[in-house]
Amino acid sequence: MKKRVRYAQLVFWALPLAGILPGVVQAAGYPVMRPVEIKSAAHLKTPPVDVTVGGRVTSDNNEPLPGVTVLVKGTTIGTATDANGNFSLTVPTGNETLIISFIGFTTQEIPVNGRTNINISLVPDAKALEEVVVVGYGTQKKSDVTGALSSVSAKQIEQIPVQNITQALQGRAAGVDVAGGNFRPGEAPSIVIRGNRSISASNQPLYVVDGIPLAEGTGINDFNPLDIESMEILKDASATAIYGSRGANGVILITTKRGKEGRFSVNYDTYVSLDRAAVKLDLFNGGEFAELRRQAYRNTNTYNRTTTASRNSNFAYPDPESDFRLFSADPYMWESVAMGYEWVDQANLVPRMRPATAEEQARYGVAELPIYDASKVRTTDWQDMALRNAVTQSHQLVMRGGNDRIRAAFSGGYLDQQGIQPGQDFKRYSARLSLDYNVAKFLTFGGALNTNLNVQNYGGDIYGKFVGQLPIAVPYDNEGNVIQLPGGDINIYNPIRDVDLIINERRSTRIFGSFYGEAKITPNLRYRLNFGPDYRQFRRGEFQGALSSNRQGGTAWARNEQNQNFSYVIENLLYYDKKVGADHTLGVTLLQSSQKDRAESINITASDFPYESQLWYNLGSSNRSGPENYGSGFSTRTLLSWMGRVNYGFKDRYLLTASGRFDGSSVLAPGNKWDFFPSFALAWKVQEEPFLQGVNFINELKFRVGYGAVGQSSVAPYQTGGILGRTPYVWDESPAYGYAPSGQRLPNLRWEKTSTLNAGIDFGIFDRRLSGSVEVYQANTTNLILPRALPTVSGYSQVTQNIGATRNTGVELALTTDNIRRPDGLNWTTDFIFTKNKEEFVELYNGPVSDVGNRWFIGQPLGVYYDYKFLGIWQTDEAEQAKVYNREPGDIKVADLNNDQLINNQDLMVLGSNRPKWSGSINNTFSYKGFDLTFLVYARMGQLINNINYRPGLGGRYQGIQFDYWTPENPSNEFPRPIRNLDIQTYGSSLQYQNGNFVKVRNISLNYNVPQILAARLKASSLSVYVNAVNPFLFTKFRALDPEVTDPGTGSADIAQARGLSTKSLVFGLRVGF
Amino acid sequence: MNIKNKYKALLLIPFLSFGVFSCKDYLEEELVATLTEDYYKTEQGVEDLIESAYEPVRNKFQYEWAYTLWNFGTDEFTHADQPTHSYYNTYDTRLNTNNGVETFVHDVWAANYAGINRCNTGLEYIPTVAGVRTLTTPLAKTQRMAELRFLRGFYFFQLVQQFGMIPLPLSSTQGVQTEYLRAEVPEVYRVIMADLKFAADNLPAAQLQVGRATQGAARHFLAKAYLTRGSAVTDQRGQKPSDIDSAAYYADQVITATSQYTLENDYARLWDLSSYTNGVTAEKSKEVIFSAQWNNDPLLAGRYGNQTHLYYIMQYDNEPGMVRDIANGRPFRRLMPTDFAMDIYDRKNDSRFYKSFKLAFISNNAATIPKWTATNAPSPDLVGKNKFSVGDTAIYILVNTPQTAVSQQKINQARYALYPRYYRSSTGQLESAFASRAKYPTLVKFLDPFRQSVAQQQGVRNGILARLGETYLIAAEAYGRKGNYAKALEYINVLRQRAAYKAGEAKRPEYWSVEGGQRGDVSNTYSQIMASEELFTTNAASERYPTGVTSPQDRFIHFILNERSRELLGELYRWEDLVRTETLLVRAKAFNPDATAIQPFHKLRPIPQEHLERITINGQPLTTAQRQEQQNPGY
Repeated sequence: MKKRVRYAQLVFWALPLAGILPGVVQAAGYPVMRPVEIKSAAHLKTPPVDVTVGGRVTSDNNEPLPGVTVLVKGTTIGTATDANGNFSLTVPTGNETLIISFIGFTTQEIPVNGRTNINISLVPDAKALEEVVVVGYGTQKKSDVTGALSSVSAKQIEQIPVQNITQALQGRAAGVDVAGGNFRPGEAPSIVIRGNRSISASNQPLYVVDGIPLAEGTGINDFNPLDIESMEILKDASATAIYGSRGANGVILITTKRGKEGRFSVNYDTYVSLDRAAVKLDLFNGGEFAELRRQAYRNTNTYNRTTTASRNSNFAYPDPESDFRLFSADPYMWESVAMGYEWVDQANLVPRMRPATAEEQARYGVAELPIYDASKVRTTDWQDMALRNAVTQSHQLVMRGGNDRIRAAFSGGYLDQQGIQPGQDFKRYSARLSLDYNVAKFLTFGGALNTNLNVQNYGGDIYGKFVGQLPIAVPYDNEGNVIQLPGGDINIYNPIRDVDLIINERRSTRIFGSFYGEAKITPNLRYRLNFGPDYRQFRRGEFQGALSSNRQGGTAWARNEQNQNFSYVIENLLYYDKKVGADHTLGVTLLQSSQKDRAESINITASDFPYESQLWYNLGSSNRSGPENYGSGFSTRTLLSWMGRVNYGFKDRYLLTASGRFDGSSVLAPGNKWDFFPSFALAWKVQEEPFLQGVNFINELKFRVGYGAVGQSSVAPYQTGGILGRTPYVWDESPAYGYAPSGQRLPNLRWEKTSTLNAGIDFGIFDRRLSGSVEVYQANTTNLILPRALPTVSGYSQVTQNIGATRNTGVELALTTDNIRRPDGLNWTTDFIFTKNKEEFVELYNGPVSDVGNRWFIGQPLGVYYDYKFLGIWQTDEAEQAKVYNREPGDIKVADLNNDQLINNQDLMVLGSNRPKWSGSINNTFSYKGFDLTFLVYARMGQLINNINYRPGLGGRYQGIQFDYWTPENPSNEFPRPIRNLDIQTYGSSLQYQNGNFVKVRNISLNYNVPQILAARLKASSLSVYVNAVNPFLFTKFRALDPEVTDPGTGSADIAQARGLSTKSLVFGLRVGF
Repeated sequence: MNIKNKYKALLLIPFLSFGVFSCKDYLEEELVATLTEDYYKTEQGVEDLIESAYEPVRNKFQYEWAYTLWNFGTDEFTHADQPTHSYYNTYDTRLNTNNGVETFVHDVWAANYAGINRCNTGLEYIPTVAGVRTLTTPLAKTQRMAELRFLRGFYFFQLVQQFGMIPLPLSSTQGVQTEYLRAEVPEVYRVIMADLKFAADNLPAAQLQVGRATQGAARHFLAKAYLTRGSAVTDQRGQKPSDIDSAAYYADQVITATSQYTLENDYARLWDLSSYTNGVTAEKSKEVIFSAQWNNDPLLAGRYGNQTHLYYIMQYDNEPGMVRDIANGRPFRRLMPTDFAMDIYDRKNDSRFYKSFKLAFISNNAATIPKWTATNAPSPDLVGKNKFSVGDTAIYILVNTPQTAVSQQKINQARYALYPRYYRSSTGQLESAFASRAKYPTLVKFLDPFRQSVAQQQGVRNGILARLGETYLIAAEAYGRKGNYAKALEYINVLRQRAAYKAGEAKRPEYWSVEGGQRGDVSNTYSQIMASEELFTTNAASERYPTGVTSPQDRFIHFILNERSRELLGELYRWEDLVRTETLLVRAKAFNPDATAIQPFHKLRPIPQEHLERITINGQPLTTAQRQEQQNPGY
């Protein structure tokens, strides 16, 4: 059997490899793209002599450069080099001058001088290092940036194949904490920039796609990560303040790939990813579980036979008659346990006996023992049944090109991700079109349209339910029928049919546009109009078949929920840029913006259907007189803003940015809707100072300091007027719905404000062998919008108020070292990223006084774990002491903080939180002759995880992780003794808080860029293949699956158990460009 | 700017006008799908607010607190084998220390106070509303205000009995309020009396809508409140000598209003589950004075529905020939009757015992019907044949006595699974099949076969909060406390007459199969159970008086508690009755085998931790000492 499995695995791993090939052939399809020749005979002024000039353009290390523009000076005659760097063009006289230009290289002018063959070597442009980065409402030279920002390039995104954009940011930018909430296909991890600051309001950053701020809560899961050209993360308030009320949690600017002037190109990217569970739970096997249950009975003196005289003895060894009582609720479970014994007569429970050893005689007081071997007890590996080896494939086609009038790009993407739990998958179909059109010299129009369809089979909590099954139970009886209750426990229902019978399909469509018109009014003054419509349609279809473990043989149940959202942003922008004299540069930006989100929803829930194939598509077929539930909803919210910004530079050394923004929001109370958010930042480029001119080892040294205020108003609409909630009641048999006060009036609800002081240094030394930046910051959030818990005597359980303050203080370090830079092409660079953020309450409504009722503690982060402190297990020699606390040896020992010999709520304490003390990553890149090897190691340290798996069923009733429980013979200090009927022991929750430190090798990737000469044979301009191991290694002491899931939740055990199920993958990919 | 640029600038005008809106209107919130408090300024709004004020009366039946707070830890019931919240039954340390962690008590606390705030809000809005349809006259408004005063009194009454000293908010909550210190118990009772009195004076005898508070309901609770206050001996409830008279007076008023309220002729009719329609009829019985209302529409069930059906059912679904179904219910196995509950009845002649308990389960699963084997078949030809068929008895719970203990052999050879209260094991030891706590008599009063699916927890039946049977007992107790035993017995015997098998009534089969009666006997059994003064003037064995209960006055209190058990067993009054009569400690110790850890302070529940953490004194959160002050002693 085992061999067969291994063979099957081999076949499994081999199949997709074969699958790649057809994919390549299909996708490549050899579209033959010729370089566009930009010719125009109409401009010829001298009679043509028609000299043909040819040649080859290479880089300084002799690599041919394709796509280089070769232009005859003063004309529009031109061409571009082919894949081998060769060009050929016809010039009128042979005395012209050629202009050779290519992005990233210094443009050269070469007189032809009658030559017909000219080989040109281009040198990289030093100014190319002068990277241009996107900042809010504009772009800036990186060296001129005054705020704190991190950039992530398309190349970095491509390095690890990811299914969504957020994943691509993990370990890439200092101060950005990305944590997977769960690893279900189609779910995006959460992202927090420089810690949490808000309690009720969102801590998600603002996403700005091609200049359009996305509507709140919509996320970027709908966008294809491969469509992204670059991402900039604005972290401090001096950078984000221009987004005013939206920038409180940082801003992520996303620039998508657009058409470029130059040759038309086609790029095709694909990968196949083979995914498996990265970590699994260590569960009890059959023999171990049977012993756990026995022990639970023994500890309550109930492991004994019922029908014989020895009723009061409590067998310390496995006894068939007692076992029969414990395990016969399901005959198949009994069969599993019975396999552990040798039988004389199994029907009458007569085991074969063996003489007891002297030690056993002393211990058990018997001369003979039944022959029993725990390892022979049958084990069903339910966990294995809940997992599969999944395949993900992605295809992405990008076509772009353009000339001086029109630039266009089109891309289409397809992602098909299978979940490692059966019944879960995710498909994304995306298409994107962008166009930029220079209508006239002073006028440009353009836009981009993203469309996508996501289909997510959310599925049931397959894994959680399967790992909850008893290892001694089996899913099917001998006839192959499903056993409803394997193990005969009414609370453990067989989930084996759930894959087919629990369906939760989420289908979302999004059409997102970003359009603009830009006019140059004077050489210094530009006007730009942005318009960003965003339409989203979401449908959640849920179905639970009658025989699913959720319905347990009742009636089928289904829900159809639809949400429709439309948001738009309209922005009017004026830019004024002027250089005054030699020393002064001035840039002014003015903005007026309005934004509206509109949401509408409808849902119906029904049950009891004549035929289950209808899923949620014919809810009217219910046998009931009506639906179980239905409803619809509507809301809008609007935001209005005015903003101004000044950038001033003096001698290119001293830079100043100052901005101010007025924001008004509809969701806040009348009279408190508007607020002002100012910012300013200073930068000093020290390397430009005369006194450093002679110091050669310093390439860059810049000091920055910035201050800014941003706001937050993410409260739900319509909260300020004192909302009512509907209550159900009945007069006799007729409805008597009432309306009760459910939220108090909030006449004072205003903006939550965060002001950040940030100081940073950017540096590059030793010929930029060592470069990086250091940031320190403190962000103070005041007027916190708090859902403050109220004494329920008031009739309300909470109220939203602006009270209190939080503070985030941190250090960020990003360092790049150029370890090896050899002329033969061997390069090794290392990127270090380190983030340390401290999040704390500074003040609450009573000043610096903790609010225990809300679990808010001054000096502690938001959302701490507050519980008894687990000290271990009461040991046999501590019986006396344990008795003081009404405990017995084997019970959980918790700290008696005030030593009053009583464990009560005064002994609860802050145990920690799920916020890491620090996190960091190291990314190494080696490159040599077309090979790139990178590996990224990521670490999160100092977080506590609240995980229900650590509070296993100790009643001997439920399966759990293979914990080391206490018995008199095994004085464990980790887990208490099992007690029948007591699944959650007293202070059981204190077991749940576990250190979640981990180090993860996120990625090892080997990429090979096929030499262009070889690629050219395939008529391709570039070709690379890669193999990538994603999440191959995890180092942690944490035992309940992946500690990256810092908040698995404690609500339902099924969900909590499934949450930490992460994947590791082996990815094979191909990128080809034409 | 030159001319050309000016011309270009003109192009911008349409864009600018496209982008700029009038600031004021753009940020205004227009209410479309949402209601705010302004709705209460309308007549419909106020009516809806009043309806919402009724909703928390459901709370008592909604979740596991139903039995933990009202029946656990008493003489009547103890915990069965699924021991969720069993510390409310055992009073062990978990009860004293877990208040910081579990939110259980707080849920009940919050629901009652939510009701109180709705009442307070309504009382303020009703006078200001201009009525067009329902609130057109001052009388109509007064009646609605009386409903709210009734409900407010009801909620305070519920709270004070569980928690003792409590905050006493009497106006609607405006703004953020956190200063809620507790009022003395006598003060709380003064408010309760005033509210219920106002309600009794102003409510109509009958309401158009079944379920609204009536004059009778107000009088019943007023009588009960007076009795509760007047019962105090060592407790300080602000008791007055006149309380007992008032209790008798208001109870009498309900009893004599015969056109409104009459006892059902047959005790079993109160729990008629033969069909949904019959169930609804029973819920509207003239015996029912006030109840929390539900029906079988899941949309109206609320989050919980009435979940009391789950708790009393024994484990039947693992037995051969049985499968869990809607009719038999979900066996949560939380409560099993104590010996006291089974023995306080004259089970032979008082029909209430067998009419209160379900002892037989009828086979509903052909697949698992057991077969006779050589060892247990009564005759060899039966070996290998089914013991019974679907529709036959599959399980029988036998409530016998040690004297009538059956043999192990009889159990083995029974056709159905037999679980006797007493049997002799093969070695001759006296054993009980109830010892496992999984098999025991199942109380029928809350069963709910009208749910839509087996798994559905939201029950559809009403929860009775007051019925005339109890009013009789209130009256009887009041007169008895005044020493008028004859009058007390008059009321008790009305109930006993109803409890007896009537002439011509087919008796329960146990009458002859267990209790030694004659099969086919259809005579009236009232003469056997007619109550007389000897029951409490002497130490009557049938009444099982705890040691130390010796005076006729004391015995009468215990006798009336016994009678309350016989009439109201399991109906979620018991814990309060024992606290009210200051007998919790002695009776829990005497009759509940598990309540060994009970201490005097257990007569009050812990004040919820959430409350103590959230309130302030002069704007400051409470210090540890202050918290302890606001907490009930012992917690």
